[in-house]
Amino acid sequence: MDEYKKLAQRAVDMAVASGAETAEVHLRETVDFDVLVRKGKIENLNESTSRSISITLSVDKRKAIVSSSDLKEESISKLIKEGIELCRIMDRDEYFGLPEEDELGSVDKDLAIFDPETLKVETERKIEIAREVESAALKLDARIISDGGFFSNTVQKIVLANSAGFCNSYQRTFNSFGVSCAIDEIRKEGENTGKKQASYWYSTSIFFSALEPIQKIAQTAVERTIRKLGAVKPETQRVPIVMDNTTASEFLGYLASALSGGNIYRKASFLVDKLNKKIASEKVTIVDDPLLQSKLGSRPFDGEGVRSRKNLLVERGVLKSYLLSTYQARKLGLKTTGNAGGRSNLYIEPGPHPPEKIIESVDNGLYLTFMSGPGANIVTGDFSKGAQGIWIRNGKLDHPVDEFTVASTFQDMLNGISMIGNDLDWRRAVSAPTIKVENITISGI
Amino acid sequence: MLEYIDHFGISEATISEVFSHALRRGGHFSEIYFEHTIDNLITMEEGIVKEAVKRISHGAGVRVVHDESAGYAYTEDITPEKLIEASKIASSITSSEPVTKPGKLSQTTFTNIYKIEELTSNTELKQKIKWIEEAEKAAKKYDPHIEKVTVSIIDSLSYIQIATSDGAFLQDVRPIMRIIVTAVAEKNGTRQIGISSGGGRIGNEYFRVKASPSFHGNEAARQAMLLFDAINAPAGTMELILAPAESGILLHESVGHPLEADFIRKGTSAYTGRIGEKVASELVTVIDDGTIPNDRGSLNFDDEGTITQKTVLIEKGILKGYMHDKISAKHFDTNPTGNGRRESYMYPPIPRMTVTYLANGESDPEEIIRSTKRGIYCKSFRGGQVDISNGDFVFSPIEAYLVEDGKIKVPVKNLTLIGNGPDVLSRVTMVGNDFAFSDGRWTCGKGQNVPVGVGLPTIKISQITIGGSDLS
Repeated sequence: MDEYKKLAQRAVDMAVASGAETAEVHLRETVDFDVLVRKGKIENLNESTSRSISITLSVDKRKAIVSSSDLKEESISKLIKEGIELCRIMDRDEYFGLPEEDELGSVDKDLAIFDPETLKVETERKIEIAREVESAALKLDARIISDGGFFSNTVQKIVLANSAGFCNSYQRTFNSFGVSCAIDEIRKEGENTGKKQASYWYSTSIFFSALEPIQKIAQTAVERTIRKLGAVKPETQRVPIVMDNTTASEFLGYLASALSGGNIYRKASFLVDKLNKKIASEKVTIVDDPLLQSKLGSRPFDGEGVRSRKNLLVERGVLKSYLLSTYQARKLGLKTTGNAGGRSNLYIEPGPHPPEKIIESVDNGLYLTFMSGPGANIVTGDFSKGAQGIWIRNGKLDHPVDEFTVASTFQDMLNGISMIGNDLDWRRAVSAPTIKVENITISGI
Repeated sequence: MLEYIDHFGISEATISEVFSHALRRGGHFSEIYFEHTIDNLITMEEGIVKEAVKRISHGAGVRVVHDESAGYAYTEDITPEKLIEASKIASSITSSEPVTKPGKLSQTTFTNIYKIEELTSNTELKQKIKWIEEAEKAAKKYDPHIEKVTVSIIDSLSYIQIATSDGAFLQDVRPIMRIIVTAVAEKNGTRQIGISSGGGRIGNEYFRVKASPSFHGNEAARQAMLLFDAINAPAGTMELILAPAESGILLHESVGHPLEADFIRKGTSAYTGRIGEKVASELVTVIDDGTIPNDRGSLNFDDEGTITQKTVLIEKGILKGYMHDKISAKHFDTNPTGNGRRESYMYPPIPRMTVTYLANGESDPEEIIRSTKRGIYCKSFRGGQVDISNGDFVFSPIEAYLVEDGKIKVPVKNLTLIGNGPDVLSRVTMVGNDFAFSDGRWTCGKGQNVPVGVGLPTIKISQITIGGSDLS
């Protein structure tokens, strides 16, 4: 690590010596392993270490970025010279600059995002996990077609140095495993043959030892696959929907993009000019918190060395803050929120309801378990996505549905959130509990 | 042809040594993929040339294949020692006696399909800035409501060298370029966005022979402004007409992905084991062709070293073939089709599309529209997605219109179309005689991003679900 810090600092010094007014150097080493096992045999096994350096340079507020996978000092020196030449051709951007000095820094708190054990896990053990999760799934139901059990892990070193004197680093680890299943669909009269249903489930963790039990993951994957059997196309109508915590998290992911300072200053978000205005039901509070312990999005500083802090983005339905880097903040006359490089751990605060109670509250509606396609337009707020799920009748999950769409607008959906579940799930860095949204158009038959 | 320059300095003796390590534990086959890529990006935003980016990617990956198992490792430090280390990791998928001996390398010849007049990657930034300014000006000039315009020119040049343990040795220089214009318009407190993009494995002559920067500027602005007049799309089932070129995205999603042979080999695709069966209307012939000159999806040879070709997937409604890489071809005891592709040296190759299109038909496009009672006419698309197993696919139009009594009426917005691949293709009732390839703007993401092409004449589908929000 110290070697990388020295190299990053050296690159900053070279840049300044070559005439850069500011320089920011990102150095990254990633050790990746992944294995996929199908029918008990290794389908793919990949293992590699990659290194990259990325240098943002400016001369007279004219900016260029150069990057390379070649970390030799003479190559870096050549790259910097080319970068400086690029700067001179750019236009002057008065908003460009490094963060204010008092913003720069790394939090002292131990975020527990590095697991030394992850480095020591034997390859054989990793392959075994992939093999076991697949075999557990296949044993649960003879109809299951395996699309493979997998295990992957990553160890990453991240170094950031800039010409304002910042030079810091951190390490993080990531482990995951899971299984994908398919099953032949029940054939209906006169239908095209060959239709199958597929699903998957997985576990993620910073710590190898904190991964969920193999049997539980296999069980969930098989259940999620089997419950899709016999899916029909629903009728076109307007109903309340219950988004499970997977689809609700995906929905929150689009909001992250609408909240991003880059889209705000480019006027490419439906949340432009909405600070301190009500944008959602008062049940909704959204937080970005990089300081949570052992979560996938935790980090001590952001992508430009600004000290991490917790940000309240939406408070009881009112928009309180965007996700801002220094540049984006300056463009908007605001202060950085420590979000250069985007969100960290972004979540909707959980509510009081167990997911079953939310489903029980619906007479006729949809339990949404999958969305597809690029139909979320964060500029206008228009929302129309391909969907799969389970139809709810009289408070109970009744029958699976597919080949239909759900449509509304982000504005209406946010205001239409009427219940929030208590089931926040941290297998992702963007996490929402189950939520109920009123008045969604289902387009089917 | 562009001049190949060796960026790797690895001798034939080293390559053969790497292979002997790679195959020592019983692997049947091995290949080394060398890549040196220079990516350039220049962006104008808010009227100033704000950012230039240059990225160099340099690395080599070794793959070892044993039956249907593949081990892969890469290094960014291309030395004999590191390559041998990678080959040892890749070979760890098996542990038996060696069965294959590496063959002697001989250079494979091929026809060059990237005919370049003036390479974008070697063009002075000042010239690129002129084009960017031209596009920006055109977008701004289109309408005073245009608020923000972003223009980028992206180009890249890849030096690729592939050596295989059965003796193939290939070297290529792959150019690619693209312009993207985004225009955001504001009117009475609401905003719309328009995007226009194009390019290919072509040089600066793109701007002269295909589309000028001002065309793209104008087009992005036109799309944004048009959407202010759009009404919410209806919900429910209707007739669908697809305009030529970009609508090929429907094929890419509905049958393209499910016919990639890895899904077939694993038995997860809805088209598994159905060669010779009728899977579409007899008006439908679908082809994947990696040899279309200068197309974004074309390649001289794929990333396993197989020369690209034209592959008929569906002929007059009958399923004829799949898109293979070497592993799936061996599984089905057939030849690879030049569809083994990868994003970069960081990935092993998998079956992917190149340029996928629906062959020309005989109907007059005007007649196709005239014959439609009530439906949707789609011109341009944001993209799509497919669920391989159940065949459900979606695609989201940007520019679409309501058609009533044979006439194109108002523009509609906020819609996703959803259908089932085999179902929808059996409902193709008319195919036009106005085939066109889409301009080069598509990138396909199947775990790895690769550039692809699509094409289609005007077609009519008798029924599809229109996922709008209007119930009236």
